[in-house]
Amino acid sequence: MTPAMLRRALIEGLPEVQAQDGTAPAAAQVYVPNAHARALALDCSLVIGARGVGKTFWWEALRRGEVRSRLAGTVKSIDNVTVGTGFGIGVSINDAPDRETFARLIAPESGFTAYDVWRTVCVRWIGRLLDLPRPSQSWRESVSAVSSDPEIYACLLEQANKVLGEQARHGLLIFDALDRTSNDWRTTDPIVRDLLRFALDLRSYQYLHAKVFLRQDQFEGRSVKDFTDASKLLATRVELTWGSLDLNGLLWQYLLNTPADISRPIVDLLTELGCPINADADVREVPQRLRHDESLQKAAFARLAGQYMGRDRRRGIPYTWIVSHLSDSQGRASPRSFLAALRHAAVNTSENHPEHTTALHYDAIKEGVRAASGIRVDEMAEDYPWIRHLMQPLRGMSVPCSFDNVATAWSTAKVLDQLGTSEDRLPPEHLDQGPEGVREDLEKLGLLQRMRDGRVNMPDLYRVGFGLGRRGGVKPAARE
Amino acid sequence: MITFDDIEPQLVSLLQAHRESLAPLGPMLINRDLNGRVRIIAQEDRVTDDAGRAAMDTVAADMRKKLGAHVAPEGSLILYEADLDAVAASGLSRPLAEDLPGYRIVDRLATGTRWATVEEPSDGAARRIVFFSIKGGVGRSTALAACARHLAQGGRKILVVDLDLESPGLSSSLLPDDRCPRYGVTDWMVEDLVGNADEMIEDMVAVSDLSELGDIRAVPAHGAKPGDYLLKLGRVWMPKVTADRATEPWPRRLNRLIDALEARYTPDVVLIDSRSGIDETASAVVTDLGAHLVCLFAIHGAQTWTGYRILFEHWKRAGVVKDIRDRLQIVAGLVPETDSVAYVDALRQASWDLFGEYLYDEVEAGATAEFSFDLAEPDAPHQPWAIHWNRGFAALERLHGNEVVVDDERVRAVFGEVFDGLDKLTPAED
Repeated sequence: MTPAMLRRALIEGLPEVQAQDGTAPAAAQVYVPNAHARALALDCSLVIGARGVGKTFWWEALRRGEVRSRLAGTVKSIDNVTVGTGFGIGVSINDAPDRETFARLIAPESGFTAYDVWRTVCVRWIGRLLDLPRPSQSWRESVSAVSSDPEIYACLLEQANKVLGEQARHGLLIFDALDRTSNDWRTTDPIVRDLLRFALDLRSYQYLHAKVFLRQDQFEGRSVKDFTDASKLLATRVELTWGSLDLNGLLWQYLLNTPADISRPIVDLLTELGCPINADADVREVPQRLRHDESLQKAAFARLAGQYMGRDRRRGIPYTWIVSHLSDSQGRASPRSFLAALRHAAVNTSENHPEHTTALHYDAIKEGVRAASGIRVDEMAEDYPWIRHLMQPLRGMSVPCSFDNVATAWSTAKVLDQLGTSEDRLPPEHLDQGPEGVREDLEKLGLLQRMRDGRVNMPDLYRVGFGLGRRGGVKPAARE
Repeated sequence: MITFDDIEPQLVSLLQAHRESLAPLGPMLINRDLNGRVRIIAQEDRVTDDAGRAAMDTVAADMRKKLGAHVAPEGSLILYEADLDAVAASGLSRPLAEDLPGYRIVDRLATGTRWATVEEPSDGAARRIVFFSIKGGVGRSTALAACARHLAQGGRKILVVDLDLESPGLSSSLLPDDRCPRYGVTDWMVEDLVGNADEMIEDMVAVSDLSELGDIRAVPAHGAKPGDYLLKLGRVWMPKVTADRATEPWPRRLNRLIDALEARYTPDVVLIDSRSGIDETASAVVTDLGAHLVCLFAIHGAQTWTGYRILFEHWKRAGVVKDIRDRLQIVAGLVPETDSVAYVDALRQASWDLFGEYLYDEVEAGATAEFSFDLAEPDAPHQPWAIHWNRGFAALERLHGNEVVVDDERVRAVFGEVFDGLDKLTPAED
C-alpha cells in the first residue's frame, strides 16, 4: 500500500460534512464505544452528553429498525423493541407538541404542568403501540383529558404493559433536543424535571421504557433533579464521551467500510500489523483488539500519520497530539472534529505534500486541526448562538490573560446586554450574574479554562477557531 | 547609585545620544571586566583623525558621568585594538541592542564559561541526558540511579558521570564504596591541564551492579581516595592553555572527557548528574555538554521558579533559546503524597507560564506555531514528569544500601512517568 492509496482511503472514507440531524445513520457509521453501549441499553433512562458527542445520532439510530438490529450484538436487550419518539427534531406534531404549543400548554393560565404534557405524549405513543385509533383531539384537549382523569392514564399503561408482555416485546419512548422546548431556563428546567419524573414513573412497568438524551448543561447544576426518588434515575444515568481509543476505533470503522478497492490498503495495513479483517462482511467490524489495544492503535495510526508532529519527537506524537488539540478545556473531543481534521489533513497532504512518505503530513495535520476548530465553532454555535457574540470582541487577544481584559472587551462591545433577548435558544445559564456568571458558563461548556491564579486560558480547539493568539516569549521569525 | 543591572540601559541610551558622531568610527566593543567596570574598545584604524578622537573623548566623559562606579576611576575609558573579533572571542560576547548594530558587549568572567552559546547535541552514538536542579535535596541523584537501572534493564548500555563535584557522591547503590575506581572526574580535569589525562580513562570507571541484566558504568567525582580534593577542585574550572597559546575553556575540556569516555565504553546513554544551582558551572553543564535532553527538576515553590526564570531569561538575552528549548523537560521532583493531583496541576501551570514567557513561540491570532504548547498538551517540555514521593518510596531505600534487591513494581510506581518519558525520548532505534 502506498501513502497515496492510504490518503485516498482517508479522503473517500471520511465524511466531508457529517450527516445533519434527521437523517438515518448509515450502518457502516454505527460504531458503539463501550460507554455508549451502556447508554443505549434498555435499562438506561437518562443519557447525558455535551454538544457533538452523538446524542441525536443515537436518538436517530434507535428510531430505525434496521440500525437497531445491527446494534443487537453490542447493546444489551435492544432486540424486540418498538421505539417511539417523545420529543426531538423532526418529530410529528401528532407525537409531541412543538415549542409554541408546549409553551401555551404550560402557560400559567392553562393550569397544566409539563408533567401532564409528558404523560399525554406517552398516552399518544401507547395509542400507536397498541394500534388504537389516532386521536382527533387537539393537544389541549388531550392534556386536559389526561390530567383530569389519572385513572384512565394508569389503566392504559397497565394494559399496554400487559399486551407487550404477551407479545414478548418492549416499548421504548425516546426524547432528544430538549433545549428546543423553550428559550428560557426558567421554563426549560421544569420541563426537563417533569420529563425525568415521568421517565422514572415508567420504570415500574416491565415492558415500557423511556430514554432521555440530555445536554450536559441542562442537567449539571440545574434544578431538574429535585423530585422524589430522583436518585433512582440518576444512579443509572450514563454519560456519553469519546476517549482516544473510541475515536480511533471510529476512524477505522469508517476506513474499513469504503468500497473494496479503496479500503484494500487499509485491510492490508491492519493485516500487516497482525490484525486481520473479515473483509467479506456486509459491514466490516473493527476487530476487538483494534478497539481496545492502545499500542496497536498507535502503531496503526503512525502508519497513516507518521511518527512525529514535526522533525522530531519533541514536537509531539500525532496519535496524542491530534486528540489533545481537539479537546476542550474539560478534555472532551468530539468525533465530528476528529474525522473532519483527518479528512482535511489528507486533502491538504495530497495538495501540498503529495510525495510525503506517509498518508498525512504533519503540517497538513495542523491544517486539519485548524479546519476542525472552525467546524467545532460552527457546531457549538448551532446550540449556543450567543457564543459567537461573546467571542467576537475577544478576536486578536492572546491567552492566557487576565479576566479583566475579557470583561472589558465584553463591556466595550456591550455584548452581555444583547444576549438572551433576540435568540430563539437558551441564553447563557448565568447571564444574570454578569461577566463572572457567563465566564462560568463558558468554562462548563469547555471553551474557557480557569488558571489557578485566576487568569483565563482557552484550549486550542476554540482559540484557533475564534481567532485568538497565545502568549509566547519568542517572536515569530518573520517579525524578528 | 548605578548598579550592575543599570549599566546596559545606560550605555544604550548614551550610545544612542552620540549615534551621529560615532557612526563613522565603525563597530565597537563594550568590555566589562571581572569587577563589572566598563571600557569601550574601538577599532584603531577607524579612529584616525582629531574629530574621531574628540568624539570618543566626549563619549568617555559622558560614561564617567552616567556609569558611576562602573567605570575605572582613572586611566582612559577608550582602548584601541586592531582585531575586535579576536577580543570579542576571548570573552562572552553578544549584541548590545537591536537598534545599535555593530556594538557588542563582552563580559569577562572568572571561569571559561561560554554562556552565550549552546553546544549542538553531541553527534556521537550515545544520548546524553543531564539531570539538573535549582537546589539540592530534590531526589535528583536517586532518580538518576533509578533511571540508570530502568534503561539498563531495557538493554541499553549506560554510563553515569557525576559532575556534582562540589558535593560529590553518586548514590552508593550505583557505586558502592568497595567498587570505587582509583580516579574521578576531578583528577582527570586536573591532570588534563598538564597533559596527563589520557592514561586515566581506564582507571576512572567502575562497573555498577545496580542492574543485574544490563550494563551500567559509573564515573565518580573523585576516586577511592579523594586526596586533597579541595585543592584539586580549585583547578577543575581552569581553562587549558595549549602549546600554541590558545585557551580551551573548561566546558570544552569536560566535553572532551565525555567524548573520550564514550569512545572507550560505547554507551547508548550517558546520564550526567549536574550540580544544582544557577552558577556558571551548573549552567555550563546544561548548555555546553551537547546534551540531547536536560531534565530540569522542580519543586513547586518560589525558589525553583525564580531560579529557572533567571536561567531562561539569560538564555533569552543571549539569543540561544531556540538552540536549547527543545531539549528541556520539567520533572516534578518530590510530588507529595497528599493532594498530589492539585500539586502537579499547580506545578504544571507555573511551569507552563515560565516556558511560555521565555521559550515558546508567540502564536498569532487564530494560528498555530512551530514550538508552542497548550497547558494540557502531552509531550510538551513544560508538562511535568511526576515523581510520586509516596510510601512506596521506602522500597527504594535499598537503592541506597549495598544490597541490590530492587522492588521494580514499587520503583515504577514512583518513577514511572520519568521512565516512560525517557523511553520515548531515547528509543532503541536512535
